[in-house]
Amino acid sequence: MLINLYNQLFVMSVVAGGLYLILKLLSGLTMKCFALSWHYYTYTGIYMFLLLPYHKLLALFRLNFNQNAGNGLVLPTLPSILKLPSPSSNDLETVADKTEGVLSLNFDFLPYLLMAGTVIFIAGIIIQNIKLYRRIFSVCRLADEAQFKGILSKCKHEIGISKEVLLYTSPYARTPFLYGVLKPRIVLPDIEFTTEELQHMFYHELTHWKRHDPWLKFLMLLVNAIHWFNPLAYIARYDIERFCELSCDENVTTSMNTEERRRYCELMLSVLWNITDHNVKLLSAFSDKRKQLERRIDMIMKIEGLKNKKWVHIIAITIVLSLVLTGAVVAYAVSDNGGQTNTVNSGGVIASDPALVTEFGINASDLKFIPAEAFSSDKRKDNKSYAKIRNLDSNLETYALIFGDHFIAAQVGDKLPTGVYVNEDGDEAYVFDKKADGNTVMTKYKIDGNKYKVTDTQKRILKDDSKDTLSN
Amino acid sequence: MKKMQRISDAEKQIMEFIWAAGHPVTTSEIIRHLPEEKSWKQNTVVTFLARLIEKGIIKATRVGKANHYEPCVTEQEYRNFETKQFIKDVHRGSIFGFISALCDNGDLTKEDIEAIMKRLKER
Repeated sequence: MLINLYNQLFVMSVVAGGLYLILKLLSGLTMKCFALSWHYYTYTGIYMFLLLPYHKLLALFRLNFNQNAGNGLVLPTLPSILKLPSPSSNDLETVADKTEGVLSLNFDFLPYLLMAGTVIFIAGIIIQNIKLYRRIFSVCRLADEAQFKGILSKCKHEIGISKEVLLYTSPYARTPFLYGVLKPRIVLPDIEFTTEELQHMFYHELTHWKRHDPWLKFLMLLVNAIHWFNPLAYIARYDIERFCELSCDENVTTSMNTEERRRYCELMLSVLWNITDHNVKLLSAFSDKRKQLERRIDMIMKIEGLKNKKWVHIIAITIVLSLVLTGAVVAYAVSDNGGQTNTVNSGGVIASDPALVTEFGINASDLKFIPAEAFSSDKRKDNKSYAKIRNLDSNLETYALIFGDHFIAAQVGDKLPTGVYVNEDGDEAYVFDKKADGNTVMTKYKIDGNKYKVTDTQKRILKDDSKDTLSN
Repeated sequence: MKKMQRISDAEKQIMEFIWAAGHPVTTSEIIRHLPEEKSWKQNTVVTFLARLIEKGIIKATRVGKANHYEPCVTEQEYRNFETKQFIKDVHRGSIFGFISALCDNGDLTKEDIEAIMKRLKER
């Protein structure tokens, strides 16, 4: 179960990483044409690929299609199929007894390792934030000056926020900031600001709140915690945070004239100037951060109406949709080829594990699971669920017995003795493998829970008339 | 110089008195001048003072029987240090916490910002 979950997460990690890189490649073009909010929300949407299995939607579509087209898939009654020939039957000749290794490499611990990483990541964030909360509010003072309150409530009214926003000042803060996910708090530096400056600051911080940025930030941190092993998850998150600030500026300044924008930029620069050290850097005169800031200023000054034209909207939406679709299809294809999980229309989840088939040694290479067929399951007289699998090459059908969340191939073909038979308790399997010389080799396995561990193997050769034994 | 360390609220109260006094002070002077609601015993105050010495905020000189304490850092220096710490905290908070700051200075210098300001004015 856990391993399947992590398989899915890996697929999602790779697909979302790929989509992010595609977007990054296109960024030269998209930055010219599209609004910053588009970038912010598209990147965020791509990031959510790490959390939500969008590709599962495709499976739903296919299921519907299958239900419409495949009503004829009624399992034949095969009362004799599961009757196991007695292994002690006289016409069996013991050839060898051997114990096979389970798997050459055991990756069972990996999901636990990854989960431990997530737990550590989350614990780190919680500790950090508790410390931060204590720190910040030990040096902040609730600001109840009428001047502040008047401007704040005016800004709130204009932006359309009714929730109470607490305002703090701190002699240690040098930049205004918004804090909190449940309860918004704005902390201002304890210095004199003009009314216009206060307005700009409130607009900026309240816009963050209005757009639910703190929540998105929280969600992305959580996603990052789950995908802590993927470096792209960190890089993308920083990128999104940059776009978050840029698009917030965009929202705030769209309705401003050039002079107001200039003052907004000046406010930002003077705030930054206040928090910056005097020490001159010796190495890079043009740091990455400086370029970013220059770009931020340029963007604020340049934001224009052009980006809101209809065709730009259409192209922007088309790009988003094609990205989402590409991601969904790729993720779907990958997880499908891996044959990791398929939904059964009887309600459960089955893990069509090809490793199982390989392990049992039946036509491993030509047994191809067609999910559409495998979906068809049925509860028969013996009150067990079966799934139907068709071999693409030979057109033979296999019925698989479903145990909880996994299934085991139970029979191949109608009368052929080749196949896997599982006893009613699901703890023993008999594999019949027809050899070129006409003989059938029967191997007996013990099944260990859901892990298909082969604990004991016995090989016997059945005489050519063994099929009669089977049908008896 | 030893790296400065943050001081606790209680330690800060003692420091506020030492800074305000403007001359070396003794333990008994400190206890006398503490706000009334703080009824610290001598031992407690001595412990706080020892911690402050350890943190490099004050130094003690023995005159006769009593220790005289005087600050090694001015109030302004300490305030600047606290501010820097706070900025760091906010910066960290905007990466790992729930803070959205208007600006984040990263590794910018005042010169960088002045250059950008000049560019903005020239537009």
